[in-house]
Formats: sequence, structure tokens, C-alpha cells
Amino acid sequence: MEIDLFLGRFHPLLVHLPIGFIVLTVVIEIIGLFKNDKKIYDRIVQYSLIAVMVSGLITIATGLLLSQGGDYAADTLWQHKWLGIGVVVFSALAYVLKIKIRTYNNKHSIFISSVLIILVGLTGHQGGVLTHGQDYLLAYAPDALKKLAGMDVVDSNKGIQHKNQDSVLIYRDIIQPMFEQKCTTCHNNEKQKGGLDLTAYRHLFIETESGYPIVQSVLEESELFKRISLPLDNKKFMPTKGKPLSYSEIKILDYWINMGADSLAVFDHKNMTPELLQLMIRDYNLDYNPKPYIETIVVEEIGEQKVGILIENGFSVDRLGEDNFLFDVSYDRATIGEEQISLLKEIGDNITTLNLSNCGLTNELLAQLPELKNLTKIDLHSNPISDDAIQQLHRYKHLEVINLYDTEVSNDGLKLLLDIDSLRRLYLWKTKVTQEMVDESSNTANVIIDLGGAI
Amino acid sequence: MDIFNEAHYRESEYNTRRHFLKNCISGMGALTLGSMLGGDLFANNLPRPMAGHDIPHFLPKAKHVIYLHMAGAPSQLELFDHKPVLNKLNGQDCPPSLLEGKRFAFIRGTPKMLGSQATFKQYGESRTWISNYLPKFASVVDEISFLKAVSTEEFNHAPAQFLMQTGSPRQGRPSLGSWATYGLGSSNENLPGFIVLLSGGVVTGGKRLWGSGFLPTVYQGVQCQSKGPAVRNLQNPKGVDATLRKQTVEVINKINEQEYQESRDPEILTRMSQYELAFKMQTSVPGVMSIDDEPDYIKNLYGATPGEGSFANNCLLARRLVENGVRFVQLYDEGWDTHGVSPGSGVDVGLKDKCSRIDQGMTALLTDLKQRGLLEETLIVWGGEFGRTPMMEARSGQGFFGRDHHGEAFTMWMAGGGIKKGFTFGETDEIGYSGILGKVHVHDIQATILNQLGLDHERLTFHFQGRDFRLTDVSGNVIKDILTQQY
Repeated sequence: MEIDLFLGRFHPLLVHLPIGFIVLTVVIEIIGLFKNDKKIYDRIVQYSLIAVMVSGLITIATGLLLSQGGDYAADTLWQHKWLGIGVVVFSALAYVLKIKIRTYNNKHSIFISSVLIILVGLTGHQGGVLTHGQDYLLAYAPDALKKLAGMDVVDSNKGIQHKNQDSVLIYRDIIQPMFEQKCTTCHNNEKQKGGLDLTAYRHLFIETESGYPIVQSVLEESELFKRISLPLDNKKFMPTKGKPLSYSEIKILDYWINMGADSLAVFDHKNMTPELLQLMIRDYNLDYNPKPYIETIVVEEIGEQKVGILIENGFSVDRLGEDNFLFDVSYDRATIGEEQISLLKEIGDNITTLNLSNCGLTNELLAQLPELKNLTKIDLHSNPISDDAIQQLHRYKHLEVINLYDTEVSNDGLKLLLDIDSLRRLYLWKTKVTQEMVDESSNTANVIIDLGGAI
Repeated sequence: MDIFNEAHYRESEYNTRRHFLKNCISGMGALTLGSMLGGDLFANNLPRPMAGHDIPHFLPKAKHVIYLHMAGAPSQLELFDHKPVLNKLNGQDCPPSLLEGKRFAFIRGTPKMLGSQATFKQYGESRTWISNYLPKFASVVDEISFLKAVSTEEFNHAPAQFLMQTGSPRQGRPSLGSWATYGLGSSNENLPGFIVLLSGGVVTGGKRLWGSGFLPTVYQGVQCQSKGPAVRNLQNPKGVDATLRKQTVEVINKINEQEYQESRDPEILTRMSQYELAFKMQTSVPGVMSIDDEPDYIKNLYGATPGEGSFANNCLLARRLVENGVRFVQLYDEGWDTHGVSPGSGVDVGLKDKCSRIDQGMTALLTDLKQRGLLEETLIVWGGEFGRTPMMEARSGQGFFGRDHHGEAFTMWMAGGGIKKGFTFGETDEIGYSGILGKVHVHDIQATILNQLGLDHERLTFHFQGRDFRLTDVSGNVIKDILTQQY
């Protein structure tokens, strides 16, 4: 049994006794200043000074026992120890002076009171620094006060939300700030509790008293991860004081260690769980979901003249945003011909959605359709096109939506359509495609097929 | 005024002071400016009022909006918001804590709690609770995002309708559809960009609900009807044929152009394009607005009968209009104000009857848009101007299963154009009195609608009377929780 530590840990509790008596002493002493008959006040002060000495000695004793436990920054501990002893010595001195000096007057009184208060204040502060760490007291102080105390003022505008999400480094921008917020009070350069220092990346891989904090890619052997993910009431749970790590923080650590714990690692949706993707949006406002293809297209501006020619020939051309030059093109007249189709070539790269529905488009005309490398949606409904035309659509590598309702496409065509890797949604109402075929293929393909209602 | 009187009036007008001031001052100004810039200033390059912004702010997820407004405010407690606890409390006095500091349109004193008159069941893969009042609609819940905790400050019909449709409870602001067409223009030059269809009676808020406020009037909603002439006052008078009408419009617009060049009043441009559009609409609208050529299976799907002014017909028309490139179709169905002032007018028989008139139509609209591939580019919005109280209203001392107006929490839904499928956002307390999770305000709905069209509600502004106005005034947050990534 470690009786010394058992008793030592009563120090933070007992320490409030002498503090209370000192405050009492000073208060009574000050009240006494304003009274003519000081006798009764002097008596109280004397008794309370004795109380300070007795409780102070017990506190010193427990404090010395506690300091054997190590884990404390040596400099601060030394200061705290001698200041504490100083308080008791000075109160003894004060007691003696109070009795011995015949000419004890208000000036003496003020001097002794001030020294007592200053001494106990300094001791208490150093004690606080020992248990809570250097920055604890002013961590949430107003910036002006922090500057006055010579602390670094963090510019809150440089928060994570102002960064481009692709340049967010997991360690630098999330994990290190989290360590500083929740761990480095105890695990810093000076006060390496358990031999762990979390102030710098390189220390994460140095063996500590209970193992390696982080083992790259091996979550089960990373002691740090083990400790933070234990049940809250486990005695090995970390952090022992303050807020535990949030669920998101644990999941980010999990991800980062599994990915190799590189200091320059970034998030990549390919190996993130859907849960982590959601957590990042909720708690960090960072959306790592893969962007739809259309959001990634960069194309050049097209002159109004080219667009004008299309409009004259029966097309309507709509820009899809001030920040891009993508076009939504549709043909509005009743019949389309080779001439109109060839015009599309002029703005081919910019067309992302194309509507050539209900305009007498045939298989042959569809074959004339030029290369449209950014096409994501095509609407061909109500045209005399059949399975033979489907092969043409294989040229468009980013086609996600195809609308073929009210055409002659059949089950064979559906098979060809499902070969288009990028395809996501397919409209086949009023075609020859059968429900059986759709049921069969939806098992294999990641495509939503809409056969519409029965006629 | 007959034509002779008018001629006389016009002639005398040349001698009025107003005419002198207006004409001569702008004339002098134009003269000076014209000579300064070297003559050919007012050539035929007139600005197009319909041009508006034309380009969305960012990639849109929806091209069209169909807004189904149930005017009079349907009860969420009989349709979507299933509250078993409220049923248990049926008939008990409402606790004073719910009434303190609250104002109701009609409830006075201590009302009694009123359990739901409908029975609820879960439907679809999303296991969404839907009542027996909407049996057909229950089959399409997996297409829908429900907003269960919408709130508004207004508890009277007209102000609440104005708030919902124009962003302000007082009349005079441009409507949602006007802002949308102002931002994006129309995608069919032969049809108005913003069309309004009515059923069930006259809407309390009246025509100003689709007015353009301070925006150029070209953006105001055009009211069409499925019964009688599609648009009123659009037919040619007897003895005037299309050619003559065209020539007339051309001459009028020539005069208007001269007037514009003198006065630079943008409203003249609006008037000119209205003349042109009206002329085009004489041929385009009757075609689009006639549902006769729809096959029977489609008419049966909607329950539409040609020649009626029904909600079902309007739903079918809404699909046809969207198919033809109309940007914003606004339906109003009046008659949802179930106060229960007499037997059968409450949320029991009255509401059930009303629901039976929209159930098939709105379900068919979703189904039909979906099978045509139009649902993914059309945003559907459904809702009233507020909800109804969990307490029974007994205006004359005796209640007939009526509920009073209630703005604190009610249900709306959206579907299509970039909205999550089979999703519910927000939650009300055990009796459906107020929202406890996922609360959204009217302005959030509006911000979301504009967002789906590719418009930033904070950037879509119009300078008027010295400041920039916007639909959502100084509030509104896009309800990101109900949006998908999909385009």
C-alpha cells in the first residue's frame, strides 16, 4: 500500500484550511483597524494565526508526501514548496510580533496582512499551475488580458472553416490542436505524466511508461488510442480531467492512425467511412463526399456569337451558373436535322445536359451527335430510336442520366445501357423493356431504372 | 370612353402642364445627351426586361418549381404528424402553460385537447406515418422529404399567405415566383415564366400573392384557368384575326418604343414585352392549357375531367406547363380552413372530404413527373400558410371537431429537384404543439426553394426606395439537411 500517496492526495483538500484561516486573520485584523477597543480583535487574530500554523504544518506534510509521486514540473514544485513553508513561517512570525511589539499600530497591521495575502496568493497560484498547467487560468481570458500576461493570442479567424478543405492536414489542423486543448496540460515538455509528451509530433512514437503512444497503422497497439477510448469510469481512461475526446475526435484519431499517422496526411473519401464523412460535415463543416462530376468540370468561356447561332437554329442554351461556363441545351422545334446536330460541335465541351426529346430524332441522326466530353444528362424521349442507337451513347464517359421514355428501346437495349459505367438513372416508361428484365438487372447494376406506371 | 372622346382627350392633353413638364424636360435632356454622345444614341438596342439575371448564381438542382399551396391551412395532426399522446389527452382541458402569452385567432378561455380524427399507418421503405385521409399519397412517401416543424409568426390567413409567398406579412412585396423568374428568366419565350392556377375558391390573400411588387411587372404571375378561356381577356375581339392583331401589336410597340426613348421608363419595356408575350400566348396557351389531347390513362391517373376547374386538372396542367419550360407553377387550392363552426366542417368529415379532392391529383403529379424523368429537375413544394392547434376550437360554446390557426409548428413537404427521398426532418412535441427538433421558418423554406434553382437568396436582390430588397429580408437559412448531392 502506498500510504504516502494516499495521505499526499489529501493535500489539495487540506490546503483550503490554512487559506481560510489566513483570510479570517486578515479580515479580522482589518476590522480591528477601525475599532478603538482592539482587544477582542487581537485575540481572535492570535487564535486564528495559531490555527494557520497547525493546519499549515499538516498541509506541508501532506504536500511533501504528494510531491514524492513525481509527475510535477520541478521548478514550479520547488517554488510552491518554499512559498508554502514561507506562509507558515511568516504566520508564526506575525504571531510573535503581534505579542512582542508594544507599539503595534495600524502600519504594522497593514504590512503583516499584505504580506500574508501576497504569500498565500502566490503559493496558491503555483499550486494551481502544478495541477492544471501553465495556461489553465487565462486560457479563456479576453485577448487583451492574455496579451498583458504575455501569452500568445490565437487569431480565431484562422479557424479550420476558413481553409480550403483539401489543404487540411489531419495532424496539424485537427489532432495537434485537440492535444493542446485536452492533453498537453499534463503531457507536455515539462510535466511528462507517464513519460508522455504530446506537444510535438516526433514524441508520439517514443516509448512511454505504458507503451508506445502511437504505432503507425496498428490501432490495437497504440496506447494513446487505447486510453482515450476506454470506458469513462476506467481508471486508465484519459484524459482524467476536463472534457473527454468527442466521438468525432476519436474517430478522426482512429482514421489517422489506421492511415499510417503521417504528419502530412489528409482526408480522402475513398477510405473514409460514411459515418466519418458525416461527422466531418457536422462538427468541422468539411465535406469530403466525392463531388459529383459536374462540379469538377472546368471549361472555357464560349462567345455569344456561337450561342447565338444555336439559338437561331431552334436551340435554347442556358448557362448553369455564374461561376462556370456549362450549358443546358435543348432543342425546341418539332424536327431536328443533321445541320442542327452538327452545330452542337461548336460548344461541345460545355454541354453538360442535352435535351433532344420529341423532335423526330432517328438512330442515324443520333449517330451524328458529336463528341460531348462533359455530357452528364441526355433526354431523348419520344423519338423513333431503338436499341441500335444505344451503342452511340457509350461514347459519353460521364453520362449519368438517360431518358428514353416513349422510344422503341427493348430489353437488348437495356443490357447495352447498363454497360455504361457512369450511368445512375434511367427512364424507360413506354418502351419495350419488361419489368422482369428490370428486376433481373437491378440486382447487378447500381442504376435506378424507372419503368413508370402501367398504361 | 369611346374613340372620339379619347381623341379629344388626347388632343387637349397636349396643352396640360403635366404633359409639358414630362415631355419637354425629358425631351431636352435626351436632346442634350444625344448631341453630346454624337447622335445615334437610341438605336434599336433596347434592353430586354425579361433578361433579369438569366444566369443562376451556381449549379441548379431544379429547373422548375411546382408549389401546391393549400390555402386556409390544412391540419398537420390529421395528415402527417402522428401524435398518440394527443389522442389519449382527447377531451381534457388544455393546460394553462400552453396558453400563457399566446394569441389565437378564435380560441378564447380554456379549450379542450382534440385527438386526431384520422388513423395513421406507416408506409414505404421510409416507414413514414400517413393518415387514412391520404390513402393514395401514402404510396409515394418514399419520394418525399417532410418538414415536421415549420413555423410562422402570422396566425391570420392573408398575412400568413403573404409571408409564405412574398417573405413579408404585409402586401406589396414580389412573390416567390416573381423572384425566381426575375433571377432566371423564362425558358420558353412563348409562355410566361410564372403561371398561377386556382381551385376551390378565391384565395384570401388575393391576386397580390402572385404580384411582382416592386419588380418589373413582367415577372408577375399570370393566372390561367382550366375552366373557360385559359387566360382571361386574351381572345381577339370579333372581326380581328391573328394578322391584324400582330400588326396592331407591332404599331403599338413602335409607339411605345418612341415613348421609352423619351422617358426611359423601364415599365414601358415591360409593357412592350407583355404585348408581344400576350400575342404569342394567344396561340401557345390554349394548346398547353387544353388537357383534351391527354390520353385517357393519364386523365384517369390524375382524376382529371376536361372543362373542370379542379385541383386534379390543375395538377395535370402543372405537369404540362413544366414540360413546356414554365419556370414556376403556383397552385392554390382554397378551402382548408377547418374551424368546425358547424357539424361536418371540422377536421373530421370536412377535412377528409377536402383531402379526397387532392389526394389523387397530387399523387399523380409526382408519379407522372417521375416516369417522365421530370421529377428530378422539378421541385415540388406542398403546404399551407400555417398549421392547426392540438386544441379544439369551440367558437359558439359547442365545438364540431374544429382546430384553430396555429403557426408554431406545422408540416410541409418537398420532393424532386435535389431533395432527399423518403426523409423526415424535424419533430414536434408529444401533442404537436411546437417544434422540438429541426425547426425551420418560412424564410428557410424560401431560401431552400431559391437554392434549388441555383439562386443565392442573399444575393438575389432588387434596389428599391433606397435599399436592396430580397425575398427572405434579413433571415433565411437553406435547409441543407433535406438536400442531396445529386444533380
